[in-house]
Amino acid sequence: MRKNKARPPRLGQWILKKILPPEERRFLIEGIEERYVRELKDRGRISALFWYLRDIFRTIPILIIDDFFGSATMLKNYLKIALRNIKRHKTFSFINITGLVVGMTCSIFIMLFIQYEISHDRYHENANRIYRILIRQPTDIYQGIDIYSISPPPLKAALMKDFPEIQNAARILRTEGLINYKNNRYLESRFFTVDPEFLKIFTFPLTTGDPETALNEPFSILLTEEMAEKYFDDEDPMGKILNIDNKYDYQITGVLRDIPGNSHFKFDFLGSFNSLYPIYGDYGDRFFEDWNAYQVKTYIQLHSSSDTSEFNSKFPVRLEKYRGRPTNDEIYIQPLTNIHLGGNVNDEIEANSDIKYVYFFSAIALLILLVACFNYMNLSTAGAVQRMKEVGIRKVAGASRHNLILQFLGESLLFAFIALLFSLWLVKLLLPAFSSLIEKELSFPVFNNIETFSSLIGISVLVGILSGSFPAFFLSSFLPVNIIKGKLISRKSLNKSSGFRNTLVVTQFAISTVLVICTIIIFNQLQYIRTKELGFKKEYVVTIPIQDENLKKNYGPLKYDLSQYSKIVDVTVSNFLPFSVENSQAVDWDGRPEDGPDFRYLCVDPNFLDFYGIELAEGRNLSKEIPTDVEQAYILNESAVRLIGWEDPIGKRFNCQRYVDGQVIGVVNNFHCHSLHRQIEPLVIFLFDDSGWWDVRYFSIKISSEDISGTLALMEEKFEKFSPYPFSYYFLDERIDMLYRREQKLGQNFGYFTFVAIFIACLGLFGIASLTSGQRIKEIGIRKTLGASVSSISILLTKEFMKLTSIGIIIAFPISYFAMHEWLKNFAYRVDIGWIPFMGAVLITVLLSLGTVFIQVFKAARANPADSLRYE
Amino acid sequence: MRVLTKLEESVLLSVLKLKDDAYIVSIKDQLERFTSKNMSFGALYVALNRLIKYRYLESHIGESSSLRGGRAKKYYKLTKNGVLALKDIRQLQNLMWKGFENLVKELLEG
Repeated sequence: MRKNKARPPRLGQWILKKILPPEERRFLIEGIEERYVRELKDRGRISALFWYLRDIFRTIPILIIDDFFGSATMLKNYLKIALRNIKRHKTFSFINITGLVVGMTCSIFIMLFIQYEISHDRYHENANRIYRILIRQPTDIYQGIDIYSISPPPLKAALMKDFPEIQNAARILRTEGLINYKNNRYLESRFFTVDPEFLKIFTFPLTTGDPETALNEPFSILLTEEMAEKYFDDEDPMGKILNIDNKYDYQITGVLRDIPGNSHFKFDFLGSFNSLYPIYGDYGDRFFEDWNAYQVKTYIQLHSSSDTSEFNSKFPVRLEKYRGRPTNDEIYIQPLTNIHLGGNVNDEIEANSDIKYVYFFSAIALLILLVACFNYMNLSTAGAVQRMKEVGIRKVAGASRHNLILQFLGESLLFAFIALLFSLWLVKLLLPAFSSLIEKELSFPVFNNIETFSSLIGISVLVGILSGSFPAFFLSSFLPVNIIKGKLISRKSLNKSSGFRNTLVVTQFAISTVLVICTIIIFNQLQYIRTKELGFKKEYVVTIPIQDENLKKNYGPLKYDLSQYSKIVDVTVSNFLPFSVENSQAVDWDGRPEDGPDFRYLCVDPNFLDFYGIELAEGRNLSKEIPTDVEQAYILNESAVRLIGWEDPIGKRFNCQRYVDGQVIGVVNNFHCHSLHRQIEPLVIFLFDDSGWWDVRYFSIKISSEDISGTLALMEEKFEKFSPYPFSYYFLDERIDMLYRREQKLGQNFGYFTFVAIFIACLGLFGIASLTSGQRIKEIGIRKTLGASVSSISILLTKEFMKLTSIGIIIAFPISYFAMHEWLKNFAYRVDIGWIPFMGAVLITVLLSLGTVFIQVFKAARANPADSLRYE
Repeated sequence: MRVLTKLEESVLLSVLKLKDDAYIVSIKDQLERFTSKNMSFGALYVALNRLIKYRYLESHIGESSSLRGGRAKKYYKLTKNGVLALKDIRQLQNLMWKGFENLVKELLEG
């Protein structure tokens, strides 16, 4: 028999050793060991093990409890008293638990949200070794950023050659695709064309098909399960042919499991990259070597053996080295796991989040939790008088202060855990609603995710200790002598505790008021954005994106067809829509400095300015009647004129990517050609020409307000005649609202959390008001018998609370002012903060707190003094 | 005077019966023989400590013997107080059981 066989499992013994005081543990542990050895001899290994486990599982809790509370009997007593207190003081228990439940529910939601945000892209097996290539183009600033997530196609091979650390690299080309299977036609916007290595780098498992070979052949395509169901229902998609863009037949070589929601890119289809050779035809070979084609996204994966920090230090690398032509562009790398919370660079596949939002919401969660904890502290110290006798008796019976502190801490922990149970239930209940609110699919695995579980326990323990610490120290400080003398609590400690309580109330209201003010200002700004004159008319304008190449070149007939219909007021075409002109072109004028900036550009039809009601400041409009206007006439906006510095711009030489120089024929008033986050940048407007260089990307159609659905149906019919793509349209004003979605979401969430914070604070105030007015019931009785009126007593009692809320509000003013001042800096065009939000917040906070307090106070003031004084 | 619980009573009795050989394992064995209930080592350990705190028991560390790999045991012994407490409870129980036979007889016959 081997030696260690005769010894009990080591883990159990180790735990015992940790729990017991060192000088004592030996005898118990050795005792258990001795008995274990006997069991082993008598009944064999298995039953000995069972015996051991059974014993140890019963032993450990007893030891812990014994260690913590002296004995199990006392613990039972504490529990009994705590539960009895909950039952006896129903209102306070209700307020305490409700406050904690609401606070914890909010925090759990925010925690789930943060966990979800942080978990982005971490499900890839190689997540830590995957990087995205970014390119900085210092001369080309787009949407205020000069970093791009797109790179030229030949970069992949060049990097592979230069950096032995790179194991795999894959390019992604993202396009739209018109997918057709048996006349089931949809325009799919999440169509990726990728290198075969894509499936090696990322962990996107296939349900059918071989990931090694699936993307090797040209015109191979993979699709997600969701798409397989959409197009094939019950059919087996493997090997079927999908027609794309009415031209190419792709064969399905596999089905992917659906892409998890916490990915920074999502796709529905994966086409093979070498399909691009036949698709691009003559251009194909050049495209793969074209250092100017900033079109693909490149991702790389390092060998598991390579040193990531050393690799990191090699970047940025200048692109010049590969390109062979002078350029300032630089190559950067970005770790995959940083992408989602790293904010946006240009040409993101999907809008990313920002680590700032994570911090911001964590702060709110903490504040709300704090407000809830303050409630508990307040109510239990204010209600201390009721526990005074208990403390006295316990002390006389020999309880040490240490015991009492543990008792009261235990009570607050009990509250916290009761609250946790309720909020778990609430979270389960409200999770779908919350998920749709933040537009993310959250899940809530409480028990099968050790991280979530332990953080939940962590939150409750934190809440329990935080809210229980002050009451525990305060309550345990009573001296039995004083209690018996009838002095209850010494003047000094009473003052100290009420001072502390007041501070808490002030803090609560400061926090709530800050939140209210912020909410009001955010909504003000949103309102401002929605109603600001943009400089063009946006009402009743339907915009239709054009995908079909033929229609882009030959839009005239359709435009004519549409304008014949009486419900359609006007039709125009352009390459961009007036609210988001984001692309720029190099321009030239006399005296342009070497490093002069590119201008945003709008390619339009002659009636564009009239259509949108954009006003000319000087000069004339573009016109069809004047033949030279097609290639040689430019209209600038005021920003452009100011930048160039012309006194009298009309007639000056100007050129934008054309063989012949043209001249400036007019200047338009500045209109908001980007979101209000940014200043209006220099813009040039000119007509479409025959060069085929400029694409008609949008139809704008102004319709009459009558029978909108009829008009839309007619437009659909006309469009389908000209384009094989499914008809899709947007109302211009809705599209403009989309620019501010993030802010709108923020405002909405802020509103909800503000409501919660105020609710909890008022709940606490209600509790305190009822406690103090209850304690002063005799004073009120005497005052009333001496002739005080109900109103004077109400005012007397309310005054104190109002003082506290007022201080809270005043503290809130500067904090919220600076916070919002920072936030508003995100917008180039913003509201003045002014005094209205502050007044509004004062009104809301004061009315709510006054209302809450008054319910209690009024009840106390109205009470018949005979009742309150009788038994004396 | 504090009345002993049933558990404390049986622990004290076990210690008494074991004379010089009362240490945690033997006490547990004894208890298992007395009662069919199987208590854990932890519960026994806590009870023993409590009894020491009430001064019903005292303990001393025995000499190490080669039999247990050179490890010493902690032996328990009743104090005067412990004996008194047992006497008390015996008295109390006698008082309570007094007339039991007659009462049962009455109940069955009547």
